[in-house]
Amino acid sequence: MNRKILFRLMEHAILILVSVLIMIPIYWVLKTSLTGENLFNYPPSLIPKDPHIYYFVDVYYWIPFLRFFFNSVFVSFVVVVANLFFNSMAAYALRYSFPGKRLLILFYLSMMMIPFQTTIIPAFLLTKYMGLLNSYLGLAFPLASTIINIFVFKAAFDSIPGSLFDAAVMDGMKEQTILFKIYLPLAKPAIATNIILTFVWSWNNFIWPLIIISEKEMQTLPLGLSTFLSYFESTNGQMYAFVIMVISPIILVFFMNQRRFISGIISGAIKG
Amino acid sequence: MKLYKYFLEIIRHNVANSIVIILLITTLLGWLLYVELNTDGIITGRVVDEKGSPVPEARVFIREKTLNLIKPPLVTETDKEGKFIFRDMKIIEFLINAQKEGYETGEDVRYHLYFKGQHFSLPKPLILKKIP
Repeated sequence: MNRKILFRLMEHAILILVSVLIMIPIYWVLKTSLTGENLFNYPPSLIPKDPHIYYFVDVYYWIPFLRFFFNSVFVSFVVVVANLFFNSMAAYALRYSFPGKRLLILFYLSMMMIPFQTTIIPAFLLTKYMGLLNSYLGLAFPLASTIINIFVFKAAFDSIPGSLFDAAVMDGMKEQTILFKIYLPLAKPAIATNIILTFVWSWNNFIWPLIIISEKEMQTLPLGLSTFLSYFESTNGQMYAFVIMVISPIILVFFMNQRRFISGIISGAIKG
Repeated sequence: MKLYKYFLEIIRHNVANSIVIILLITTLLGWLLYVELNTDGIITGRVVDEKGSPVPEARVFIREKTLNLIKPPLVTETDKEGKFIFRDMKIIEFLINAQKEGYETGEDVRYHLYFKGQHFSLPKPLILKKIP
């Protein structure tokens, strides 16, 4: 019994140590955003001296932060909604047996191996020909459906008993009703996983907005951050305050969906 | 009515998340209300000598500081009680000092505000030293 307790204590001690190690860079960014201390100060101080929020105020006023924030939120919202819609429909279609299904899945999987950077030029040309440069739709377009999330939905749908589907068909339900009224409510972890992953990808997206956005008022936060850094030098505090302002919505979304996100990922891992 | 019920249902199923969102929105609205009620842009303060006596008719210079430059100064004068006032100051960071004949030029004091147009009273008076 004592050995068991000792083992549990050691396990927790190691986990706490690893958590602290992972948290150190985030803590350092937060500390610098509140004090403006140089990152390379020696000896480094763990506790912030005279912390204040003036650097956040500077960022808020010296760049059009609200506009960038709105752009990021709106584009992420469009991406999340589009992903939920298209991915769930694609995964629902993959429930059926049809000729070439295995080939299609193989095709999906092989597409995942192609890095986005290699498809940037055709993606840009397509977006240009559709007249979507400098637009929200253009920003959201390449992330509107992501293959990994189709498989997350597929794993969740595969775990739903087929008898439920048969009963719904016998009751005369249409395909879209079965998907939106039966399958999706039973796949909440998959929805949470989709929301978090697509939100984070869209929020952090830098290269795509850099290529298709030339108007300042259409910039998203990561692009705004790079512009901010190119305008000003020696703005330690402001730079880190901006970083905190950019990453805090992602952290908030993650914490709010953390439990479902993890169960969604796990279900994808064992059934996918 | 249906939408209202739908939102209530969401809140009922996500109590912790709903509390966080409601707290965030309340804090944000409270802050915006506070800002709205305090944006008269008035900056006040006092100028005193080393003994703490008010210095009348001293010239007070205020210069807005941005991230990469300091703007030209705005000037006002202190009254009989050594008090001064600047109005419509839509700035967030500034340098302030006082000058008067017979006194050494005061040192620049730097202040940072929380929002543009904040009503602000200098926490410490500006001190002028008499030339011996």
